[in-house]
Amino acid sequence: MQSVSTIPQAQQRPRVYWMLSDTWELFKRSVIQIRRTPDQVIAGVILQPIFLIITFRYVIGGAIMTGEANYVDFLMPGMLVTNVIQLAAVTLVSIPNDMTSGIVDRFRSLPMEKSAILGGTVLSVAVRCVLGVATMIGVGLLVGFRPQADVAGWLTAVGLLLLVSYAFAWLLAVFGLMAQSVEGAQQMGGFVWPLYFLSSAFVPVESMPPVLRAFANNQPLTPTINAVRALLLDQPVGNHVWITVAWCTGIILVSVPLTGILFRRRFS
Amino acid sequence: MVANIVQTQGLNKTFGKTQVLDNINLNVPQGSVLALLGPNGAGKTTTVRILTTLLPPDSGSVTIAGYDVLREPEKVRSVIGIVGQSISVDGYLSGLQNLMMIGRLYRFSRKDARRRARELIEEFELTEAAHRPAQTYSGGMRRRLDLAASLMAAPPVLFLDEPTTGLDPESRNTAWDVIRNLVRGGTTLLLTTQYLEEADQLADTVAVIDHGRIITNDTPANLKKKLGGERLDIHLTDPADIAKLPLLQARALPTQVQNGAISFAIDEGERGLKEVASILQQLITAEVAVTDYTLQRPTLEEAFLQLVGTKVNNSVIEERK
Ligand SMILES: Nc1ncnc2c1ncn2[C@@H]1O[C@H](COP(=O)(O)OP(=O)(O)OP(=O)(O)O)[C@@H](O)[C@H]1O
Ligand SMILES: [Mg+2]
Repeated sequence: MQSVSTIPQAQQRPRVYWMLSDTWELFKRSVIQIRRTPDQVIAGVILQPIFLIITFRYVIGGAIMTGEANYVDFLMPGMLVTNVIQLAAVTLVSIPNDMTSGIVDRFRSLPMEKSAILGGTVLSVAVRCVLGVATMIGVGLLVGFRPQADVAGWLTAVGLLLLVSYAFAWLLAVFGLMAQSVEGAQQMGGFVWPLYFLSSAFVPVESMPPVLRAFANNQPLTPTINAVRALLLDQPVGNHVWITVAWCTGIILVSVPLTGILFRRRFS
Repeated sequence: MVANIVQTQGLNKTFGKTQVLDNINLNVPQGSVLALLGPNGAGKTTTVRILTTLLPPDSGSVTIAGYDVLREPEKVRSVIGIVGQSISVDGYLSGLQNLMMIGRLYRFSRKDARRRARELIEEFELTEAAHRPAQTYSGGMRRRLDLAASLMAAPPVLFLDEPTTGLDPESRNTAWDVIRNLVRGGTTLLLTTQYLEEADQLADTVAVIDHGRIITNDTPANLKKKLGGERLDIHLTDPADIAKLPLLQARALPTQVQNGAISFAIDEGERGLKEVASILQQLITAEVAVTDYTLQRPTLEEAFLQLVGTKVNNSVIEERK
């Protein structure tokens, strides 16, 4: 049978084409994984956000003074940012899973661009984020969230959410590669929790003691949350957008080469 | 073209402090089958990983179809296919999706990738399950899908790491047929196995590996011959009786005193006949009770035990010195 059929020929294209094409193929693979694990999607993208919004809106929110007329308006941008980072943390699981299974050997033995192996997974985070953001906004509207943004404001806000999740997906991929197991990776990824709470997500940073306030003001999530909040509530944005973009670019520029180094070192 | 399509010289590999491979030299002529045979932890997978560019050796060299694995890994990858020991397809993707993705990663056009994937799905009798996630496949089906995946680009050199481990006898036979077909089509094959029968069935050459060293490298037939002619097993009613016959005890094969039987290597031809006569005579004279006896050619399994067993004994002796 082998001899009867003609074996396809590899196409000749520039390397950039293959980088994009290989990443696209592995992106599609990750999207199929998302589709085939509806339980994960329901828990992470739908139930968890609903639970958190309800807890903060009705349980904790009553005790928090933000100066905002409506606490849910203050809360929702913080919820959106922390949620997309939670969703980005899927790389903490899927990357060590791939690294310890035979599939990474399959990919490494193919004449493909090796950067796509991680790149496809990281890119698929965007799909989870779009689902997560849509759910959150839907739930938020039900519990009284009243965003004031115009179309440009919405687009910028969603763009920032995707950018910050992309950057964190790469950063968390670094930990996914350093760990020897999925459990180890998840523990290493625990560093994101202080970032959530020591930020402007749930309370104004002005209410924090000076040391914590200094930390909150100088970590990536606070400007991201401030930017998204200002955009959605149609308030003055200041330079929050640019500080966010700078943080994300910095994280990407450090993390991507690090993943390359760790990936190569793992297999020598 | 080079005569030896796979050529390795003096491969060494150490993990931490353990030397896993010690001076591995292997040659596989084009179109032939080499079986790398050894027990758990012998270094088979490590050897395959080095040969397939997945792991760099500490020292030594490997060329595949004339390409050096360290200097031209991409060229090597374009002529090899690998079926690793662990499953290397995506469980969430269907069989067809897995193969199409791999086809695309081989840089086939979308149309070509689909055509080739369908072709292999049919060839490996996965048509019924083509659209199901691979994680719902049975072990045998997943192995077949794995093999299909490594054949997408019809590579001239194929590496199979324990292709039939965990398969039932029927699936194993199917796998052997598939492998034989590939060889008939001209594919050069290096396979690893823990089963002598498999090596005997499929290989032109068997390299026996243990503790990272090649113990012997020969044809299956010669391997049998090396073990000498026949083997005489005597089952004593009371195994302790052998102590009454120190001369016989010294002649017995050291590794094969098991379930009460003692074994003797017997030469071929007339010399063998006299040996058997002398052994039986000694037993009769000493009036030792015998339950049963057999005279047979050693199987390859025993050959293997003997080769590995002798080696273990030697290293024990070396350590004592
Ligand atoms: N990455 C690694 N780090 C440390 N030790 C390793 C590593 N990979 C393999 N080893 C060790 O090297 C030795 C040879 O392993 P290898 O997997 O090559 O054996 P094998 O012949 O394929 O065995 P099996 O039949 O069980 O698959 C084993 O002792 C194993 O523990
Ligand atoms: Mg192995």
